[in-house]
Amino acid sequence: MMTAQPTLRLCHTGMDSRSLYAFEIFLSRVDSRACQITDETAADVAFIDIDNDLGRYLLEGHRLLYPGRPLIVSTQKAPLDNDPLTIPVTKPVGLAAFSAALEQARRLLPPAPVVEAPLAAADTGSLEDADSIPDEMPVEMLFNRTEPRLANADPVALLRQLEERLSTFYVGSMPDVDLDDLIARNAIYYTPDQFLQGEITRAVAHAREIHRPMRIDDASGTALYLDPQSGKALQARSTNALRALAQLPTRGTVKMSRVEPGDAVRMDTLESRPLEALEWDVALWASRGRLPRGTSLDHPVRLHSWPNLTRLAVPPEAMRIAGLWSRGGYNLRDTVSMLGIPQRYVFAFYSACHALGLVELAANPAALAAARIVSRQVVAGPAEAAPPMRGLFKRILGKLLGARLGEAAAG
Amino acid sequence: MSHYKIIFAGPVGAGKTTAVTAASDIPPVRTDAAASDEVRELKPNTTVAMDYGAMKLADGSTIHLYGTPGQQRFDFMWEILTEGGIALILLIDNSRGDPLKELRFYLGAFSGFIRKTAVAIGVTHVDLAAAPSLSDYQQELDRAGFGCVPVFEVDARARRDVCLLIEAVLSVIDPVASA
Ligand SMILES: Nc1nc2c(ncn2[C@@H]2O[C@H](COP(=O)(O)OP(=O)(O)OP(=O)(O)O)[C@@H](O)[C@H]2O)c(=O)[nH]1
Ligand SMILES: [Mg+2]
Repeated sequence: MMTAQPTLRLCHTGMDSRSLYAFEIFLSRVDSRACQITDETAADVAFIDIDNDLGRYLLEGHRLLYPGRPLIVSTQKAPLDNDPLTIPVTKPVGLAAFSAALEQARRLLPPAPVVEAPLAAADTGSLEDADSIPDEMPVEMLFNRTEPRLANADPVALLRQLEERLSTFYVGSMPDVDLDDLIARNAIYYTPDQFLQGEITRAVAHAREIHRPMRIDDASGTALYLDPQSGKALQARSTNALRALAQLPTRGTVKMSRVEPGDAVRMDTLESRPLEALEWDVALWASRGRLPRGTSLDHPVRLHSWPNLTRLAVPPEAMRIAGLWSRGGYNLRDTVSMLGIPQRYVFAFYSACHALGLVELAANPAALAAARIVSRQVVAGPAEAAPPMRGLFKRILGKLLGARLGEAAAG
Repeated sequence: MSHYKIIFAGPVGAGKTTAVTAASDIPPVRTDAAASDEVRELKPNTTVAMDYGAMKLADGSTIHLYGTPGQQRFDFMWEILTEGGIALILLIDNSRGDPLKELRFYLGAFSGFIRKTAVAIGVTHVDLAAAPSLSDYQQELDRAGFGCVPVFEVDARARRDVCLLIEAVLSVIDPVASA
Protein backbone atom coordinates (compact mmCIF):
# COMPACT_ATOMS: atom_id res chain seq x y z
CA MET A 1 0.00 0.00 0.00
CA MET A 2 1.28 3.45 -0.83
CA THR A 3 1.60 6.25 1.63
CA ALA A 4 -0.72 9.22 1.41
CA GLN A 5 0.30 11.42 -1.48
CA PRO A 6 -0.76 14.84 -2.53
CA THR A 7 -2.81 15.15 -5.69
CA LEU A 8 -0.71 16.00 -8.71
CA ARG A 9 -1.78 19.19 -10.39
CA LEU A 10 -1.68 18.68 -14.12
CA CYS A 11 -1.97 21.17 -16.96
CA HIS A 12 -2.05 20.34 -20.63
CA THR A 13 -1.37 21.97 -23.95
CA GLY A 14 -1.25 21.09 -27.62
CA MET A 15 -4.53 19.21 -27.83
CA ASP A 16 -7.32 20.30 -30.11
CA SER A 17 -10.69 20.49 -28.42
CA ARG A 18 -11.76 17.04 -29.47
CA SER A 19 -8.68 15.36 -28.07
CA LEU A 20 -9.12 17.50 -25.03
CA TYR A 21 -12.64 16.21 -24.52
CA ALA A 22 -11.37 12.67 -24.90
CA PHE A 23 -8.57 13.41 -22.52
CA GLU A 24 -10.97 14.61 -19.89
CA ILE A 25 -13.01 11.46 -20.17
CA PHE A 26 -9.79 9.54 -19.96
CA LEU A 27 -8.73 11.40 -16.86
CA SER A 28 -12.03 10.69 -15.20
CA ARG A 29 -10.92 7.07 -15.22
CA VAL A 30 -7.73 7.96 -13.47
CA ASP A 31 -8.27 8.35 -9.78
CA SER A 32 -9.03 11.99 -9.08
CA ARG A 33 -6.81 11.74 -6.02
CA ALA A 34 -3.89 10.96 -8.28
CA CYS A 35 -4.22 13.91 -10.55
CA GLN A 36 -6.34 16.93 -11.21
CA ILE A 37 -6.45 19.41 -14.05
CA THR A 38 -5.28 22.85 -13.14
CA ASP A 39 -4.13 25.95 -14.94
CA GLU A 40 -0.66 26.25 -16.30
CA THR A 41 0.89 28.45 -13.66
CA ALA A 42 -0.22 26.26 -10.77
CA ALA A 43 0.68 22.90 -12.26
CA ASP A 44 3.20 20.40 -10.90
CA VAL A 45 3.29 18.48 -14.15
CA ALA A 46 2.35 19.31 -17.72
CA PHE A 47 0.93 17.00 -20.33
CA ILE A 48 1.85 18.07 -23.85
CA ASP A 49 0.72 16.52 -27.05
CA ILE A 50 3.36 17.30 -29.64
CA ASP A 51 1.89 15.68 -32.73
CA ASN A 52 1.04 18.87 -34.53
CA ASP A 53 3.03 21.36 -36.55
CA LEU A 54 4.12 23.38 -33.61
CA GLY A 55 4.18 20.72 -30.94
CA ARG A 56 7.89 20.82 -30.46
CA TYR A 57 7.80 24.55 -29.98
CA LEU A 58 5.05 24.27 -27.41
CA LEU A 59 7.23 21.78 -25.62
CA GLU A 60 10.31 23.95 -25.77
CA GLY A 61 8.36 27.05 -24.82
CA HIS A 62 6.91 25.29 -21.82
CA ARG A 63 10.37 24.14 -20.84
CA LEU A 64 11.60 27.72 -21.05
CA LEU A 65 8.82 28.98 -18.83
CA TYR A 66 9.02 26.17 -16.30
CA PRO A 67 12.54 24.80 -16.36
CA GLY A 68 12.04 22.50 -13.38
CA ARG A 69 8.68 21.01 -14.24
CA PRO A 70 8.27 17.37 -15.28
CA LEU A 71 6.61 17.14 -18.67
CA ILE A 72 4.65 14.16 -19.92
CA VAL A 73 4.81 14.22 -23.67
CA SER A 74 2.56 12.20 -25.92
CA THR A 75 3.61 11.45 -29.44
CA GLN A 76 3.24 8.82 -32.10
CA LYS A 77 6.79 9.26 -33.15
CA ALA A 78 10.07 8.06 -31.77
CA PRO A 79 11.19 9.19 -28.31
CA LEU A 80 12.60 12.63 -27.74
CA ASP A 81 15.94 13.97 -26.69
CA ASN A 82 17.34 12.88 -23.41
CA ASP A 83 15.80 15.39 -21.08
CA PRO A 84 15.57 13.82 -17.63
CA LEU A 85 12.44 15.84 -16.85
CA THR A 86 10.61 14.77 -19.99
CA ILE A 87 8.59 11.59 -19.87
CA PRO A 88 7.50 10.29 -23.26
CA VAL A 89 4.31 8.28 -23.63
CA THR A 90 3.67 6.71 -26.98
CA LYS A 91 0.26 7.07 -28.52
CA PRO A 92 -2.22 5.57 -28.30
CA VAL A 93 -1.90 6.32 -24.63
CA GLY A 94 -3.29 3.68 -22.35
CA LEU A 95 -4.28 4.11 -18.75
CA ALA A 96 -1.50 2.00 -17.34
CA ALA A 97 1.14 3.89 -19.30
CA PHE A 98 -0.33 7.22 -18.32
CA SER A 99 -0.51 6.27 -14.66
CA ALA A 100 3.06 5.08 -14.78
CA ALA A 101 4.08 8.39 -16.33
CA LEU A 102 2.29 10.27 -13.57
CA GLU A 103 4.09 8.19 -11.00
CA GLN A 104 7.40 8.90 -12.67
CA ALA A 105 6.58 12.61 -12.76
CA ARG A 106 5.76 12.49 -9.09
CA ARG A 107 9.16 11.06 -8.33
CA LEU A 108 10.78 13.87 -10.28
CA LEU A 109 9.14 16.56 -8.20
CA PRO A 110 11.25 18.18 -5.52
CA PRO A 111 10.29 16.86 -2.07
CA ALA A 112 8.81 20.22 -1.15
CA PRO A 113 6.09 20.24 1.49
CA VAL A 114 3.12 20.18 -0.83
CA VAL A 115 -0.35 21.33 0.11
CA GLU A 116 -2.37 18.59 1.74
CA ALA A 117 -4.50 16.73 -0.67
CA PRO A 118 -8.15 16.91 0.24
CA LEU A 119 -8.50 13.16 0.54
CA ALA A 120 -5.00 12.34 1.61
CA ALA A 121 -6.08 10.57 4.77
CA ALA A 122 -8.30 8.21 2.89
CA ASP A 123 -5.79 7.62 0.15
CA THR A 124 -5.09 3.98 -0.28
CA GLY A 125 -2.92 4.13 -3.35
CA SER A 126 -4.67 5.82 -6.15
CA LEU A 127 -2.32 4.69 -8.85
CA GLU A 128 -2.80 1.07 -7.93
CA ASP A 129 -6.49 1.67 -8.40
CA ALA A 130 -5.84 3.24 -11.75
CA ASP A 131 -3.72 0.30 -12.73
CA SER A 132 -6.51 -2.04 -11.94
CA ILE A 133 -8.78 -0.43 -14.51
CA PRO A 134 -8.61 -2.50 -17.69
CA ASP A 135 -6.47 -0.75 -20.24
CA GLU A 136 -8.95 -0.75 -23.07
CA MET A 137 -10.12 2.82 -23.19
CA PRO A 138 -11.63 4.15 -26.39
CA VAL A 139 -9.37 7.08 -25.75
CA GLU A 140 -6.77 5.51 -28.01
CA MET A 141 -8.95 6.26 -30.94
CA LEU A 142 -9.94 9.62 -29.68
CA PHE A 143 -6.35 10.68 -29.28
CA ASN A 144 -5.66 9.84 -32.84
CA ARG A 145 -8.60 11.54 -34.46
CA THR A 146 -7.85 13.58 -37.50
CA GLU A 147 -11.03 15.62 -37.57
CA PRO A 148 -10.52 19.27 -38.44
CA ARG A 149 -9.23 21.32 -35.59
CA LEU A 150 -11.40 23.89 -33.95
CA ALA A 151 -10.23 27.42 -34.19
CA ASN A 152 -9.56 27.84 -30.50
CA ALA A 153 -7.02 25.06 -30.55
CA ASP A 154 -4.99 26.63 -33.35
CA PRO A 155 -1.36 25.90 -32.51
CA VAL A 156 -0.30 29.29 -33.82
CA ALA A 157 -2.64 30.90 -31.31
CA LEU A 158 -1.24 28.68 -28.58
CA LEU A 159 2.26 29.61 -29.58
CA ARG A 160 1.36 33.26 -29.55
CA GLN A 161 -0.07 32.91 -26.06
CA LEU A 162 3.08 31.18 -25.02
CA GLU A 163 5.20 33.95 -26.46
CA GLU A 164 3.06 36.47 -24.70
CA ARG A 165 3.52 34.79 -21.36
CA LEU A 166 7.24 34.44 -21.86
CA SER A 167 7.32 38.08 -22.75
CA THR A 168 5.84 39.36 -19.51
CA PHE A 169 9.44 39.39 -18.33
CA TYR A 170 10.09 42.01 -20.92
CA VAL A 171 6.90 43.99 -21.28
CA GLY A 172 5.28 43.53 -17.88
CA SER A 173 1.54 43.14 -17.70
CA MET A 174 0.26 46.69 -17.36
CA PRO A 175 -3.16 47.10 -18.93
CA ASP A 176 -3.79 49.89 -21.44
CA VAL A 177 -4.71 53.23 -19.94
CA ASP A 178 -6.72 56.13 -21.32
CA LEU A 179 -3.96 58.26 -22.79
CA ASP A 180 -6.11 61.37 -22.64
CA ASP A 181 -6.64 61.02 -18.91
CA LEU A 182 -3.74 62.94 -17.46
CA ILE A 183 -3.87 61.19 -14.12
CA ALA A 184 -4.19 57.67 -15.47
CA ARG A 185 -1.46 58.49 -17.91
CA ASN A 186 1.01 58.89 -15.09
CA ALA A 187 1.17 55.11 -14.86
CA ILE A 188 2.84 54.76 -18.25
CA TYR A 189 6.03 56.50 -17.22
CA TYR A 190 9.10 55.43 -15.31
CA THR A 191 12.34 57.19 -14.50
CA PRO A 192 15.27 55.16 -15.86
CA ASP A 193 17.67 57.03 -13.58
CA GLN A 194 16.11 55.45 -10.53
CA PHE A 195 16.75 51.92 -11.74
CA LEU A 196 19.74 49.72 -12.41
CA GLN A 197 19.34 50.97 -15.96
CA GLY A 198 20.36 54.47 -14.90
CA GLU A 199 23.23 53.16 -12.82
CA ILE A 200 24.56 51.27 -15.82
CA THR A 201 24.26 54.34 -18.02
CA ARG A 202 26.29 56.37 -15.52
CA ALA A 203 28.87 53.63 -15.08
CA VAL A 204 29.32 53.21 -18.82
CA ALA A 205 29.72 56.96 -19.31
CA HIS A 206 32.28 57.07 -16.52
CA ALA A 207 34.16 54.05 -17.89
CA ARG A 208 34.45 55.83 -21.22
CA GLU A 209 35.87 58.90 -19.50
CA ILE A 210 38.49 57.09 -17.51
CA HIS A 211 39.17 54.39 -20.13
CA ARG A 212 38.73 51.70 -17.53
CA PRO A 213 36.02 49.09 -16.95
CA MET A 214 33.55 49.71 -14.13
CA ARG A 215 31.91 47.49 -11.58
CA ILE A 216 28.40 47.61 -10.15
CA ASP A 217 27.83 46.33 -6.62
CA ASP A 218 24.86 45.98 -4.35
CA ALA A 219 24.52 44.75 -0.79
CA SER A 220 25.30 41.16 -1.77
CA GLY A 221 28.45 42.02 -3.69
CA THR A 222 29.36 42.61 -7.30
CA ALA A 223 26.57 42.18 -9.82
CA LEU A 224 28.18 43.38 -13.05
CA TYR A 225 31.41 44.35 -14.72
CA LEU A 226 31.08 46.74 -17.64
CA ASP A 227 33.67 47.40 -20.29
CA PRO A 228 32.46 49.75 -23.02
CA GLN A 229 35.88 49.71 -24.67
CA SER A 230 35.55 46.05 -25.62
CA GLY A 231 31.75 46.31 -25.75
CA LYS A 232 31.46 43.48 -23.21
CA ALA A 233 29.68 42.96 -19.91
CA LEU A 234 30.32 40.28 -17.32
CA GLN A 235 27.37 39.10 -15.32
CA ALA A 236 28.16 37.91 -11.81
CA ARG A 237 24.54 37.02 -11.06
CA SER A 238 22.02 34.64 -12.54
CA THR A 239 19.68 36.24 -15.04
CA ASN A 240 16.79 35.83 -12.61
CA ALA A 241 18.67 37.63 -9.84
CA LEU A 242 19.70 40.38 -12.20
CA ARG A 243 16.16 40.84 -13.42
CA ALA A 244 14.95 41.14 -9.85
CA LEU A 245 17.55 43.83 -9.26
CA ALA A 246 16.66 45.67 -12.46
CA GLN A 247 12.89 45.70 -12.01
CA LEU A 248 12.69 47.85 -8.90
CA PRO A 249 14.08 51.29 -8.16
CA THR A 250 17.50 50.83 -6.60
CA ARG A 251 16.97 53.48 -3.88
CA GLY A 252 20.65 53.96 -3.29
CA THR A 253 21.41 50.27 -2.72
CA VAL A 254 23.60 50.07 -5.79
CA LYS A 255 26.94 51.74 -6.34
CA MET A 256 29.55 51.81 -9.01
CA SER A 257 33.30 51.74 -8.74
CA ARG A 258 36.21 51.25 -11.01
CA VAL A 259 37.51 47.76 -11.63
CA GLU A 260 40.68 47.11 -9.65
CA PRO A 261 43.44 44.61 -10.37
CA GLY A 262 42.05 42.44 -7.57
CA ASP A 263 38.88 41.87 -9.62
CA ALA A 264 40.75 40.00 -12.33
CA VAL A 265 40.53 36.56 -10.72
CA ARG A 266 36.77 36.76 -10.37
CA MET A 267 36.32 38.24 -13.83
CA ASP A 268 38.22 35.38 -15.41
CA THR A 269 35.59 32.96 -14.20
CA LEU A 270 32.66 34.83 -15.74
CA GLU A 271 31.33 34.60 -19.24
CA SER A 272 31.04 37.81 -21.18
CA ARG A 273 28.14 39.00 -23.28
CA PRO A 274 27.70 42.05 -25.46
CA LEU A 275 27.19 45.15 -23.33
CA GLU A 276 24.46 46.20 -25.73
CA ALA A 277 22.44 43.05 -25.01
CA LEU A 278 22.70 43.70 -21.28
CA GLU A 279 21.60 47.33 -21.66
CA TRP A 280 18.69 46.16 -23.78
CA ASP A 281 17.51 43.60 -21.22
CA VAL A 282 17.96 45.94 -18.27
CA ALA A 283 15.95 48.67 -20.01
CA LEU A 284 13.12 46.25 -20.77
CA TRP A 285 13.10 44.96 -17.21
CA ALA A 286 12.94 48.45 -15.74
CA SER A 287 10.41 49.70 -18.26
CA ARG A 288 7.98 46.80 -17.83
CA GLY A 289 5.90 48.29 -20.59
CA ARG A 290 6.38 51.93 -19.62
CA LEU A 291 8.09 54.93 -21.21
CA PRO A 292 10.92 57.10 -19.94
CA ARG A 293 9.28 60.00 -18.16
CA GLY A 294 8.86 62.96 -20.45
CA THR A 295 8.43 60.95 -23.66
CA SER A 296 5.82 62.59 -25.84
CA LEU A 297 3.04 60.50 -27.25
CA ASP A 298 2.41 62.94 -30.07
CA HIS A 299 5.77 63.58 -31.64
CA PRO A 300 6.66 61.20 -34.46
CA VAL A 301 9.15 58.48 -33.63
CA ARG A 302 12.30 58.42 -35.71
CA LEU A 303 14.07 55.07 -35.80
CA HIS A 304 17.71 55.64 -36.79
CA SER A 305 18.57 52.00 -37.01
CA TRP A 306 16.96 48.68 -36.26
CA PRO A 307 18.01 46.90 -33.10
CA ASN A 308 20.05 43.80 -33.88
CA LEU A 309 17.15 41.48 -33.24
CA THR A 310 19.02 38.27 -33.99
CA ARG A 311 21.25 38.92 -30.99
CA LEU A 312 18.89 40.76 -28.64
CA ALA A 313 15.78 39.53 -26.88
CA VAL A 314 12.80 40.01 -29.22
CA PRO A 315 9.93 41.53 -27.24
CA PRO A 316 6.45 40.87 -28.64
CA GLU A 317 5.57 42.63 -31.89
CA ALA A 318 9.01 44.23 -32.06
CA MET A 319 9.30 43.49 -35.76
CA ARG A 320 6.04 45.15 -36.70
CA ILE A 321 6.69 48.16 -34.52
CA ALA A 322 10.13 48.64 -36.05
CA GLY A 323 8.66 48.07 -39.50
CA LEU A 324 6.17 50.86 -38.93
CA TRP A 325 8.72 53.24 -37.45
CA SER A 326 11.18 52.70 -40.26
CA ARG A 327 8.60 54.29 -42.53
CA GLY A 328 8.77 57.39 -40.36
CA GLY A 329 6.02 59.68 -39.29
CA TYR A 330 4.17 57.67 -36.65
CA ASN A 331 3.92 58.76 -33.04
CA LEU A 332 3.48 56.40 -30.12
CA ARG A 333 -0.26 56.89 -29.93
CA ASP A 334 -0.67 56.06 -33.64
CA THR A 335 1.63 53.09 -33.33
CA VAL A 336 -0.65 51.49 -30.77
CA SER A 337 -3.78 52.09 -32.79
CA MET A 338 -2.33 51.28 -36.22
CA LEU A 339 -0.97 47.94 -35.08
CA GLY A 340 -3.82 47.17 -32.71
CA ILE A 341 -1.53 45.91 -29.97
CA PRO A 342 -1.26 46.60 -26.22
CA GLN A 343 0.37 49.89 -25.28
CA ARG A 344 2.95 48.10 -23.17
CA TYR A 345 4.42 46.36 -26.24
CA VAL A 346 5.01 49.67 -27.94
CA PHE A 347 6.27 51.46 -24.85
CA ALA A 348 8.65 48.65 -23.84
CA PHE A 349 10.12 48.48 -27.31
CA TYR A 350 10.52 52.24 -27.43
CA SER A 351 12.25 52.28 -24.03
CA ALA A 352 14.70 49.57 -25.06
CA CYS A 353 15.49 51.26 -28.38
CA HIS A 354 15.88 54.54 -26.53
CA ALA A 355 18.36 52.98 -24.10
CA LEU A 356 20.53 51.97 -27.06
CA GLY A 357 20.16 55.37 -28.73
CA LEU A 358 18.30 53.95 -31.73
CA VAL A 359 15.25 56.21 -31.59
CA GLU A 360 14.38 59.80 -31.02
CA LEU A 361 11.27 61.91 -31.28
CA ALA A 362 10.91 64.42 -34.07
CA ALA A 363 11.00 67.97 -32.82
CA ASN A 364 7.36 68.74 -33.27
CA PRO A 365 4.10 67.06 -34.12
CA ALA A 366 3.72 69.13 -37.27
CA ALA A 367 6.60 67.20 -38.76
CA LEU A 368 4.28 64.24 -38.64
CA ALA A 369 2.18 64.88 -41.66
CA ALA A 370 5.17 65.92 -43.73
CA ALA A 371 7.20 62.90 -42.70
CA ARG A 372 4.39 60.61 -43.70
CA ILE A 373 4.16 62.01 -47.15
CA VAL A 374 7.89 61.59 -47.62
CA SER A 375 7.83 58.04 -46.34
CA ARG A 376 5.08 57.14 -48.79
CA GLN A 377 7.26 58.34 -51.60
CA VAL A 378 10.40 56.61 -50.44
CA VAL A 379 8.96 53.23 -49.54
CA ALA A 380 6.03 51.55 -51.16
CA GLY A 381 3.18 52.54 -48.84
CA PRO A 382 0.94 50.02 -47.15
CA ALA A 383 -1.80 50.74 -49.62
CA GLU A 384 0.28 49.47 -52.52
CA ALA A 385 1.94 46.57 -50.83
CA ALA A 386 -0.89 45.31 -48.72
CA PRO A 387 -3.43 43.50 -50.86
CA PRO A 388 -1.36 40.51 -51.99
CA MET A 389 0.34 40.38 -48.61
CA ARG A 390 -2.64 40.41 -46.32
CA GLY A 391 -2.82 37.24 -44.37
CA LEU A 392 0.61 36.07 -45.39
CA PHE A 393 2.10 37.17 -42.14
CA LYS A 394 -0.55 35.48 -40.12
CA ARG A 395 0.21 32.27 -41.88
CA ILE A 396 3.95 32.53 -41.69
CA LEU A 397 3.97 33.71 -38.12
CA GLY A 398 3.76 30.24 -36.64
CA LYS A 399 6.77 29.21 -38.57
CA LEU A 400 8.87 32.20 -37.74
CA LEU A 401 7.76 32.26 -34.14
CA GLY A 402 8.50 28.58 -33.95
CA ALA A 403 12.01 29.07 -35.20
CA ARG A 404 12.43 31.83 -32.67
CA LEU A 405 11.15 30.04 -29.62
CA GLY A 406 12.60 26.74 -30.69
CA GLU A 407 16.16 27.84 -30.87
CA ALA A 408 15.88 30.12 -27.91
CA ALA A 409 14.92 27.02 -25.97
CA ALA A 410 17.69 24.95 -27.45
CA GLY A 411 20.35 27.57 -26.92
CA MET B 1 -2.85 28.89 -53.12
CA SER B 2 -0.70 31.95 -52.81
CA HIS B 3 2.92 32.09 -53.71
CA TYR B 4 5.46 34.64 -52.57
CA LYS B 5 9.02 35.00 -53.61
CA ILE B 6 11.96 36.31 -51.62
CA ILE B 7 15.37 36.79 -53.19
CA PHE B 8 18.75 36.38 -51.49
CA ALA B 9 21.64 38.31 -53.02
CA GLY B 10 25.14 39.37 -52.11
CA PRO B 11 28.77 38.61 -52.83
CA VAL B 12 30.43 35.25 -53.27
CA GLY B 13 30.64 33.30 -50.04
CA ALA B 14 28.31 35.57 -48.08
CA GLY B 15 26.06 32.59 -47.33
CA LYS B 16 23.13 32.80 -49.77
CA THR B 17 23.07 29.09 -50.54
CA THR B 18 23.57 28.30 -46.86
CA ALA B 19 20.73 30.63 -45.80
CA VAL B 20 18.25 29.28 -48.33
CA THR B 21 19.13 25.77 -47.20
CA ALA B 22 18.71 26.69 -43.52
CA ALA B 23 15.29 28.27 -43.95
CA SER B 24 13.85 25.81 -46.45
CA ASP B 25 11.37 23.12 -45.44
CA ILE B 26 12.17 21.09 -48.51
CA PRO B 27 15.51 19.78 -49.70
CA PRO B 28 16.80 22.80 -51.59
CA VAL B 29 17.63 22.78 -55.24
CA ARG B 30 21.13 24.02 -55.77
CA THR B 31 23.15 24.71 -58.82
CA ASP B 32 26.52 24.68 -57.16
CA ALA B 33 29.47 23.81 -59.31
CA ALA B 34 33.10 23.39 -58.48
CA ALA B 35 34.52 26.85 -58.29
CA SER B 36 37.21 27.81 -60.73
CA ASP B 37 39.34 30.94 -60.70
CA GLU B 38 39.79 33.02 -57.58
CA VAL B 39 36.63 31.73 -55.88
CA ARG B 40 38.28 28.36 -55.33
CA GLU B 41 40.57 29.80 -52.71
CA LEU B 42 37.52 30.78 -50.76
CA LYS B 43 35.34 27.71 -50.99
CA PRO B 44 35.05 24.62 -53.17
CA ASN B 45 31.61 25.35 -54.65
CA THR B 46 29.83 28.34 -56.04
CA THR B 47 26.32 28.91 -57.31
CA VAL B 48 26.15 29.19 -61.08
CA ALA B 49 22.44 29.74 -61.70
CA MET B 50 20.36 29.85 -58.55
CA ASP B 51 19.37 28.19 -55.30
CA TYR B 52 15.80 27.33 -54.60
CA GLY B 53 14.10 26.50 -51.33
CA ALA B 54 10.61 26.90 -49.93
CA MET B 55 8.78 27.51 -46.70
CA LYS B 56 5.47 25.69 -46.71
CA LEU B 57 2.66 27.27 -44.78
CA ALA B 58 -0.14 25.37 -43.12
CA ASP B 59 -2.77 26.52 -45.64
CA GLY B 60 -0.75 25.21 -48.55
CA SER B 61 0.72 28.49 -49.67
CA THR B 62 4.41 28.76 -50.17
CA ILE B 63 7.17 31.25 -49.71
CA HIS B 64 9.73 30.59 -52.38
CA LEU B 65 13.30 31.40 -51.52
CA TYR B 66 15.69 32.13 -54.35
CA GLY B 67 19.43 32.48 -53.95
CA THR B 68 21.28 34.32 -56.67
CA PRO B 69 24.83 33.56 -57.79
CA GLY B 70 27.29 35.94 -56.18
CA GLN B 71 29.71 36.09 -59.08
CA GLN B 72 29.17 39.08 -61.27
CA ARG B 73 29.65 37.09 -64.44
CA PHE B 74 26.27 35.54 -63.66
CA ASP B 75 24.59 38.87 -63.04
CA PHE B 76 22.14 38.30 -65.90
CA MET B 77 20.43 35.90 -63.47
CA TRP B 78 19.78 38.67 -60.98
CA GLU B 79 17.13 40.36 -63.00
CA ILE B 80 15.51 37.10 -64.02
CA LEU B 81 15.34 35.94 -60.42
CA THR B 82 13.91 39.15 -58.97
CA GLU B 83 10.96 39.04 -61.36
CA GLY B 84 7.79 38.85 -59.27
CA GLY B 85 9.67 38.96 -55.97
CA ILE B 86 8.30 40.74 -52.91
CA ALA B 87 11.53 41.40 -51.01
CA LEU B 88 15.30 41.28 -51.17
CA ILE B 89 17.59 39.92 -48.52
CA LEU B 90 21.13 41.10 -48.96
CA LEU B 91 23.82 39.07 -47.26
CA ILE B 92 27.25 40.64 -46.84
CA ASP B 93 30.34 38.82 -45.55
CA ASN B 94 31.87 41.03 -42.87
CA SER B 95 35.18 39.19 -42.93
CA ARG B 96 36.27 39.69 -46.51
CA GLY B 97 37.26 42.52 -48.79
CA ASP B 98 35.56 45.84 -48.23
CA PRO B 99 32.09 44.94 -46.92
CA LEU B 100 30.68 48.46 -47.15
CA LYS B 101 31.78 48.72 -50.75
CA GLU B 102 30.03 45.42 -51.43
CA LEU B 103 26.93 46.80 -49.76
CA ARG B 104 27.02 49.88 -51.99
CA PHE B 105 27.52 47.74 -55.05
CA TYR B 106 24.61 45.39 -54.40
CA LEU B 107 22.28 48.19 -53.31
CA GLY B 108 23.06 49.82 -56.62
CA ALA B 109 22.64 46.66 -58.65
CA PHE B 110 19.23 45.92 -57.09
CA SER B 111 18.08 49.49 -56.47
CA GLY B 112 15.18 49.33 -58.92
CA PHE B 113 13.83 46.21 -57.26
CA ILE B 114 14.41 47.51 -53.72
CA ARG B 115 12.54 50.75 -54.40
CA LYS B 116 9.53 48.75 -55.49
CA THR B 117 9.72 46.26 -52.63
CA ALA B 118 11.84 46.14 -49.48
CA VAL B 119 15.29 45.09 -48.36
CA ALA B 120 16.89 43.70 -45.23
CA ILE B 121 20.61 43.25 -44.68
CA GLY B 122 22.17 40.21 -43.03
CA VAL B 123 25.77 40.73 -42.02
CA THR B 124 27.46 37.33 -41.93
CA HIS B 125 30.78 36.05 -40.59
CA VAL B 126 30.70 38.58 -37.75
CA ASP B 127 32.27 35.86 -35.60
CA LEU B 128 35.34 36.22 -37.80
CA ALA B 129 35.36 40.02 -38.10
CA ALA B 130 33.50 42.40 -35.80
CA ALA B 131 34.12 45.51 -37.91
CA PRO B 132 32.53 47.25 -39.69
CA SER B 133 29.73 47.57 -37.15
CA LEU B 134 26.03 47.39 -37.88
CA SER B 135 25.80 51.14 -37.45
CA ASP B 136 28.46 51.58 -40.14
CA TYR B 137 26.13 49.65 -42.42
CA GLN B 138 23.17 51.83 -41.46
CA GLN B 139 25.21 54.96 -42.17
CA GLU B 140 26.06 53.61 -45.60
CA LEU B 141 22.38 52.95 -46.22
CA ASP B 142 21.54 56.48 -45.13
CA ARG B 143 24.15 57.89 -47.48
CA ALA B 144 22.73 55.85 -50.34
CA GLY B 145 19.25 57.19 -49.54
CA PHE B 146 17.64 53.95 -48.41
CA GLY B 147 16.69 55.16 -44.95
CA CYS B 148 16.24 52.90 -41.98
CA VAL B 149 16.48 49.27 -43.02
CA PRO B 150 16.71 46.09 -40.89
CA VAL B 151 20.39 45.25 -40.49
CA PHE B 152 21.02 42.14 -38.42
CA GLU B 153 24.00 40.08 -37.53
CA VAL B 154 23.26 36.74 -39.15
CA ASP B 155 24.89 33.38 -39.19
CA ALA B 156 23.58 31.95 -42.43
CA ARG B 157 23.82 28.45 -40.96
CA ALA B 158 21.30 29.30 -38.22
CA ARG B 159 17.66 28.88 -39.20
CA ARG B 160 16.56 31.21 -36.44
CA ASP B 161 18.71 34.06 -37.75
CA VAL B 162 17.51 33.63 -41.31
CA CYS B 163 13.86 33.42 -40.21
CA LEU B 164 14.19 36.60 -38.15
CA LEU B 165 15.57 38.40 -41.17
CA ILE B 166 12.66 37.18 -43.28
CA GLU B 167 10.22 38.27 -40.58
CA ALA B 168 11.84 41.71 -40.50
CA VAL B 169 11.63 42.28 -44.22
CA LEU B 170 7.97 41.20 -44.23
CA SER B 171 7.29 43.64 -41.39
CA VAL B 172 8.79 46.41 -43.46
CA ILE B 173 6.59 45.62 -46.43
CA ASP B 174 3.45 45.79 -44.40
CA PRO B 175 3.64 46.12 -40.63
CA VAL B 176 -0.07 46.62 -40.31
CA ALA B 177 -1.12 43.54 -42.24
CA SER B 178 1.20 41.26 -40.37
CA ALA B 179 -1.20 41.14 -37.43
N1 LIG C 1 32.06 31.42 -39.66
C1 LIG C 1 30.94 31.66 -40.31
N2 LIG C 1 30.67 30.99 -41.44
C2 LIG C 1 29.52 31.27 -42.08
C3 LIG C 1 28.60 32.22 -41.60
N3 LIG C 1 27.56 32.28 -42.47
C4 LIG C 1 27.83 31.39 -43.45
N4 LIG C 1 29.01 30.77 -43.22
C5 LIG C 1 29.73 29.81 -44.08
O1 LIG C 1 30.15 30.54 -45.22
C6 LIG C 1 30.02 29.77 -46.41
C7 LIG C 1 29.04 30.44 -47.36
O2 LIG C 1 28.96 29.69 -48.53
P1 LIG C 1 27.72 29.75 -49.54
O3 LIG C 1 26.45 29.64 -48.79
O4 LIG C 1 28.00 28.74 -50.60
O5 LIG C 1 27.88 31.20 -50.12
P2 LIG C 1 27.08 31.86 -51.34
O6 LIG C 1 26.69 33.21 -50.88
O7 LIG C 1 25.99 30.98 -51.79
O8 LIG C 1 28.23 31.99 -52.46
P3 LIG C 1 28.13 31.94 -54.08
O9 LIG C 1 27.08 30.98 -54.47
O10 LIG C 1 29.48 31.49 -54.51
O11 LIG C 1 27.86 33.33 -54.53
C8 LIG C 1 29.55 28.40 -45.95
O12 LIG C 1 30.66 27.58 -45.78
C9 LIG C 1 28.87 28.69 -44.61
O13 LIG C 1 28.91 27.59 -43.75
C10 LIG C 1 28.92 32.93 -40.40
O14 LIG C 1 28.18 33.80 -39.90
N5 LIG C 1 30.10 32.61 -39.80
MG1 LIG D 1 25.61 30.08 -53.54
